Amino acid sequence: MIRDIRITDSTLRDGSHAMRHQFTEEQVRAVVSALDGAGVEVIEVSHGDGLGGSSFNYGFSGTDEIALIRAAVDEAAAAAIAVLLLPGVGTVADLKDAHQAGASVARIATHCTEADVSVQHFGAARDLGMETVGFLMLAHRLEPDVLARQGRIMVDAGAQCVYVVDSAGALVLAGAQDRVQALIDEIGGQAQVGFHGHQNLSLGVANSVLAVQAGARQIDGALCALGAGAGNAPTEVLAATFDRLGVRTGVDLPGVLAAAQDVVAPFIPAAVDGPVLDRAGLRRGVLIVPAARPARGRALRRARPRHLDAGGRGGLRRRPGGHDHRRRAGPARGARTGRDGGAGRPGVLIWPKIEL
Amino acid sequence: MGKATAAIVGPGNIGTDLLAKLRRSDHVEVRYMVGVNPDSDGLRRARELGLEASAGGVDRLLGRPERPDLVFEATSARAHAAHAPRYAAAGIQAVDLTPAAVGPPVCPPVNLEQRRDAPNINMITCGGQATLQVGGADRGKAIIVLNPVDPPMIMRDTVFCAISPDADQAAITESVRATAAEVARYVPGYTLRAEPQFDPPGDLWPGWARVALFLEVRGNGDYLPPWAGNLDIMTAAAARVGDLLASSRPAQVTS
Repeated sequence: MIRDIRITDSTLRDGSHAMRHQFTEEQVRAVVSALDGAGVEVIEVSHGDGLGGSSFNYGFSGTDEIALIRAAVDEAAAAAIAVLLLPGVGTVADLKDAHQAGASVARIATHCTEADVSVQHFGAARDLGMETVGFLMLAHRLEPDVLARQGRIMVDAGAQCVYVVDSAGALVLAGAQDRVQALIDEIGGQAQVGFHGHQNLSLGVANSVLAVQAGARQIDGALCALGAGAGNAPTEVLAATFDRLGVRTGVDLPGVLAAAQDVVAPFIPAAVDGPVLDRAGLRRGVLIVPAARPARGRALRRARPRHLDAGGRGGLRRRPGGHDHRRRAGPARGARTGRDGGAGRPGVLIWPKIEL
Repeated sequence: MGKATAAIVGPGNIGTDLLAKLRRSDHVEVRYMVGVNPDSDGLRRARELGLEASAGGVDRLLGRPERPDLVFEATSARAHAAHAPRYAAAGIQAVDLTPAAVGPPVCPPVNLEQRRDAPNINMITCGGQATLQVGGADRGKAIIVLNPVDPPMIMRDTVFCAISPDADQAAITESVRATAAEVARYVPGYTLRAEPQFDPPGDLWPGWARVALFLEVRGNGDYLPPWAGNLDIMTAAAARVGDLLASSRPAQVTS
């Protein structure tokens, strides 16, 4: 089959945030079976914060991620199973475990300014014979040319594709396209470029289209947008849109729509952390650094260093981060304040929830 | 008994900061600083302080007639893996500040006592140095966040420990305070930013309650800036190990 681009589905990784990392083996098998049957080539399975993310800080996995990866590999007839690894959260040992379980694509993610922490991990992934993908998170924080130089570091380390990762869903059209273009100009001769869109401004799909028009060859989505905060570009909508544009993805439209409707939509009631496009998510996408309001958590309020309150006098520029992890208040609130406490966490922004 | 003699291998930021700390030591005298780059600023500084500074690397160091009692390695994991057998063959105890993990991992208040005779001592990574003392835990996970913010921020650590729902909170608080005071003996800027916070069992924590500790590590500002507490705690812990090893070493004949 001729494909112009490759879609990677991250329902079982980015969507893990929305599920509070409680995916069951049964759910994983159902999603993989449906995606694989629909011709999706790569399916990512990991804790939402990547391999090794299970912790008080990020939330404990309900089922060990290696068991979920093994189940996914077992279920997939044709699709490759990918894993995400954030150096500092996970380690090379975790990657080896995932490889042992059958994962064949290693996606190594760093904050967009910190590509150099991924060098050893790319080396290890290549030594294992895995396909490699680099993830430059919160890509809106860097100008295109600077971002491209970070991509160069990943390619030199062994990345076969580098993604512009719009973790905060903050890129608007040309902002996404210019970054993809800059990466293609820098690394296009040696590696592919990808785009990972979020829905904070409902532009995940539109940005992905512009990315492909600039030359991106790998695009991420999640069924029903299942992902942290406002959610990801929905895989089924990406497939339909590219189909309309005549961009060949190899994904069977009725199949992927069925995967969304029949398999993932029934999870949504359990997805207490999204995907929801609400005021906070929208504001994140619009303003990026909102004025702070004191956080609600008891422990957090007492212990929060002033410099963690974004914006205002204590606001820090260039905080690292990854996804939009705002949480809705709920019964689990007390259990989760720690996520935002202390010195911060890789892959995550720390702004307290704010009101418009 | 005179001071133990020491060499620092690796005249970069870490090695230079370590030198500043060890120069205050009553038990360790740094005699050699070696690197591989003749233009190294760290070597120049060391020379100005009266050390034997050389860009001739470990070859040069081990070729000296008077070998040091201790060597502190502040190069890279790969370099230390290559150097470690040579130190061992020369009978020089090594304190390794790289992640090479040739020897047993050490955090001074936690386990140096049991490891003091090891020919090679590996300093646990900065996040571990800052947080492990508080544990006594069976299993731990350190998550490192390298923060590229501007202006730079001081190292902070959040430690979560799973505890029994009926744990003695007062005893935990007391133990945490005592341990923090112990670390502050060699890292003056090591402080608890808040009282330990106790949370009842969460719905996704299989039966555990939790205590959360909030730490700050302000560096001493010797060579590294004070906000680089993550690096300072490594050099401070290594200097502490040097002190403890040197002050307890068996009396030896000096030539």
